[in-house]
Amino acid sequence: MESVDYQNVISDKDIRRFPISITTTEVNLTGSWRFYKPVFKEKISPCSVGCPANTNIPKYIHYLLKNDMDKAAEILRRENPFPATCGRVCPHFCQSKCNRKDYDGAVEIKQIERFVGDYALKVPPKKVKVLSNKKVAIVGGGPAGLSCAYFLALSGYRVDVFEKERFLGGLLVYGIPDYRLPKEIPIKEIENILEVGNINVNVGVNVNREKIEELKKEYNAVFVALGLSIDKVPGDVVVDNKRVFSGYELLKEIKVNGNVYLDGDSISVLGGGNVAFDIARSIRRLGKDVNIICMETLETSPAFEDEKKEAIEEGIKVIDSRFLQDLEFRGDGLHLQLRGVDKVLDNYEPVLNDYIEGIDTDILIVAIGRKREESILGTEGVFFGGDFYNGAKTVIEAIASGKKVAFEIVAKLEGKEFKLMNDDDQFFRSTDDFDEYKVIPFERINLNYFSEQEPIKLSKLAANERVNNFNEVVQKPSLEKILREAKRCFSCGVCNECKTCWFFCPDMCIDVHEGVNFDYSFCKGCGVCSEECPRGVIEMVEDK
Amino acid sequence: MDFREVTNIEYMNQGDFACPGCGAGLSMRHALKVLGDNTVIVMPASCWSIISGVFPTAALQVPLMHVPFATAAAVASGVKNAFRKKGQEDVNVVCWAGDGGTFDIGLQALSGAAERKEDIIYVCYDNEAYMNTGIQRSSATPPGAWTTTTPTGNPLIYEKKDMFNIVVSHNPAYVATSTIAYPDDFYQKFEKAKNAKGFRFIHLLSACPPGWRIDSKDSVKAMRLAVESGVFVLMEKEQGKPVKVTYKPKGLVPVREYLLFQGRYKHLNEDTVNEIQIMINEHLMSLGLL
Ligand SMILES: Cc1cc2nc3c(=O)[nH]c(=O)nc-3n(C[C@H](O)[C@H](O)[C@H](O)COP(=O)(O)OP(=O)(O)OC[C@H]3O[C@@H](n4cnc5c(N)ncnc54)[C@H](O)[C@@H]3O)c2cc1C
Ligand SMILES: Cc1ncc(C[n+]2csc(CCOP(=O)(O)OP(=O)(O)O)c2C)c(N)n1
Ligand code: SF4
Ligand code: SF4
Ligand code: SF4
Ligand code: SF4
Ligand SMILES: [Mg+2]
Repeated sequence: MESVDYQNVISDKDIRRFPISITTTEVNLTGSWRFYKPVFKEKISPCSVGCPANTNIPKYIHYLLKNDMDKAAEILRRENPFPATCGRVCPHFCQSKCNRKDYDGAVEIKQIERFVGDYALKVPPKKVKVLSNKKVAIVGGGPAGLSCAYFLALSGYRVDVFEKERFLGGLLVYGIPDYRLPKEIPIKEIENILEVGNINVNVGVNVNREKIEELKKEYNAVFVALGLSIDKVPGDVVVDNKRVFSGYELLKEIKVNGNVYLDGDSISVLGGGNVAFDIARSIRRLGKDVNIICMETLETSPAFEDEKKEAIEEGIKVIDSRFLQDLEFRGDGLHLQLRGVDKVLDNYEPVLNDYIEGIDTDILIVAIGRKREESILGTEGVFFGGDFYNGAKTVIEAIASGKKVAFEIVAKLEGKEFKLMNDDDQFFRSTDDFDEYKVIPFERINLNYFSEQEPIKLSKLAANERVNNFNEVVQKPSLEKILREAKRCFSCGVCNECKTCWFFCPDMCIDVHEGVNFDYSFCKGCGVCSEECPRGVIEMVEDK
Repeated sequence: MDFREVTNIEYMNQGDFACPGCGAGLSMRHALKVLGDNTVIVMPASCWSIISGVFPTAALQVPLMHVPFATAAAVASGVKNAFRKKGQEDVNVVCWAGDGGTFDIGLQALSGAAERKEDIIYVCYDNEAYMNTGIQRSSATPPGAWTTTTPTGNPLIYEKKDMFNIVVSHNPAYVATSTIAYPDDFYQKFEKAKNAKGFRFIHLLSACPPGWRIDSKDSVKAMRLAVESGVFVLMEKEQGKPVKVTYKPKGLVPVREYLLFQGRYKHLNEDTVNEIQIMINEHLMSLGLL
């Protein structure tokens, strides 16, 4: 407000009778009263620590709620080039760390990610120019290799990818069944990765140890992420592709052809993990009678809970706590001798009991795990990642591993030291989009600003609607549902421009716009903004 | 409340003389956002006389009349009638007075204006003592509270004067209690008061960090806890309708939590706290809240 010379406004006589103030208090710079000053410091949400790729979940949720989908997609893809895929198949480690879990149920992050990820499918990323004449070779075009390629390409490096199969994608395209992950989804995400530019793809190239040695000479760095390529098979079982099959190979065939011919109607699947359940459910969809034989009890078997539940709904029988002791070819089929299992030790060795049962089956499918091609491991001077290096893990862990290696390579090629943002949490983001590494605990949330509300429920196809096709089981959530869920997010440590601080500042010293600005000329340092911010973004620091 | 939908227009200037974290300054800021610039403030002696700035500066962008302590409601009545004579019926004439200026010194003028059904809004920002002159007890000071004139605590028999019902007994257009810690409630009540015609009264609980002996950062928290513990009940009465409690705390916070984080109650022993809890419970029962 301009200072007005009051004498020009009111006559001298008036003033003597009736003093009137007509200038502003803005001449008092009350900021000088202050001992502490508020500072804007965005921090870390526990969900993003839970996510192996350390996605800035509250930030993209904020832009989703602002109806800026492009920005939401951009933020999500800064850390994860496969959000539509992860929004479907990730075990959502994030949700198990969500602060809202202690209040009224974790935020359904996975569904929100799927929603934003699906939008991102239609938004190709910006092209990046080649900024360096150094080149990196990537061996294995699964999520780990492609994530590494993506982040290197974004950093301006030229990348050559070598892939054994006809298509890129690894298990996203050749493993996880369509009813959980329609193949168009990863294929479109891979197309988008390639849109960044700088990535040259060589498919149908089987890379062996010698080839790796060559690549080492030709390239400035080599990343090897071959996944797990060798089936584990019980001692005396032989995969003959007539009566005994590999679950992994069958899944691949079904993924490619949508079908597979099996000579028989009753099928047994050996294994208790996701792969066993995936192949069982896939074969069930081809009209067969399927049972799963596993050493663990159904409850303790390592497959995702949803997979188990849905498999049983689909009419798959689980014969649990059983060990395959013997297998006999009888006529056109097989006779399996099973032993009872008391418990399974940490090294996967079963403790057997005296119980014996025999079952007849037409075909046995083995799905008890895979191991890596050891011959390649010893190679010096290359980077390893994904399942090949870490064992059978998950898509997002493969992506995170590829990303970390990409930045390790960048650091190495630029002669710098690679540093995680936090060692204890193994935290790393491609962008430095926070001010302080501090994980916001539940206690720091000002609950007065949140009323209790249940998380949304997923809508799934009913068992009879899904058991004869490969249509996606989890249905697309509506926009309205997603926004309702997104609003539940506390946005821990990340400003969502709620303006609570602005509202409660008694001194009108706060401007909220793409973050928060303080008017230190007048801020008296009361600290109300810091105390009331629902999500712990504002800190008071000493200011003498 | 979605704070993003609150107007960005301010009717208060920066550089006012309120203490850091003052609830009274914050309350005025938002009251004016509702009332708008067609408003005249009439103000008896109080902290706010200082907050508003020294001559020739002003913290408000609307006219403000400083008036003798006992006269706020009388002056406001005159101001409103003068506007009416000039054909400016729609000006909001607002008394903005402290608890001393309302519960004690201004009570007869207030009662007169209410009884005459003057068309004014009377806002009492209640910081529960004469703060401007150095924290002396008023009839709004709660039992047990330390002030400079009750150095061992306000005797428990001095119940806080029930201003809400005193004003209600005049059968005015609108009476409410509120506090800025509940923004929805605050905005709705000022909106109602603005739109009603006749005598309107709003009793605002207003934290005073130096007077309550609390950290300035906790001032909103203190006002909120007063409500959550049932010490201050948010209610209203529109003419012709029954008294309505506008906010029911979900689970009542024990009064101990409200009292003991404030320096002005630090001296209270367990028995006194329990006695205060009983007094509060009785009040809540009489309102059907317990
Ligand atoms: C049936 C099944 C279901 C699963 N379901 C889930 C799930 O729901 N959620 C989840 O998070 N995870 C799931 N997983 C695990 C997940 O798919 C893997 O953790 C992830 O794909 C590992 O990625 P990667 O890039 O390390 O390896 P892969 O995806 O295995 O990719 C390795 C790539 O390297 C190529 N390659 C191998 N050898 C060579 C060679 N010699 N030369 C050139 N290229 C080579 C392969 O063809 C492949 O493209 C599932 C796995 C399976 C098998
Ligand atoms: C007639 C008269 N008596 C005493 C004073 C001194 N005085 C100025 S402000 C004040 C305290 C007002 O207390 P309250 O109304 O509660 O407002 P607060 O200062 O607490 O905001 C007093 C006693 C005065 N200005 N005029
Ligand atoms: S990738 Fe997985 S862990 Fe990460 S945010 Fe998505 S669902 Fe959560
Ligand atoms: S409330 Fe939101 S930001 Fe906080 S942990 Fe949960 S999803 Fe993350
Ligand atoms: S109160 Fe809201 S706008 Fe202010 S810093 Fe916190 S999150 Fe951002
Ligand atoms: S609420 Fe306002 S005056 Fe108080 S510390 Fe924050 S910015 Fe400063
Ligand atoms: Mg007072």
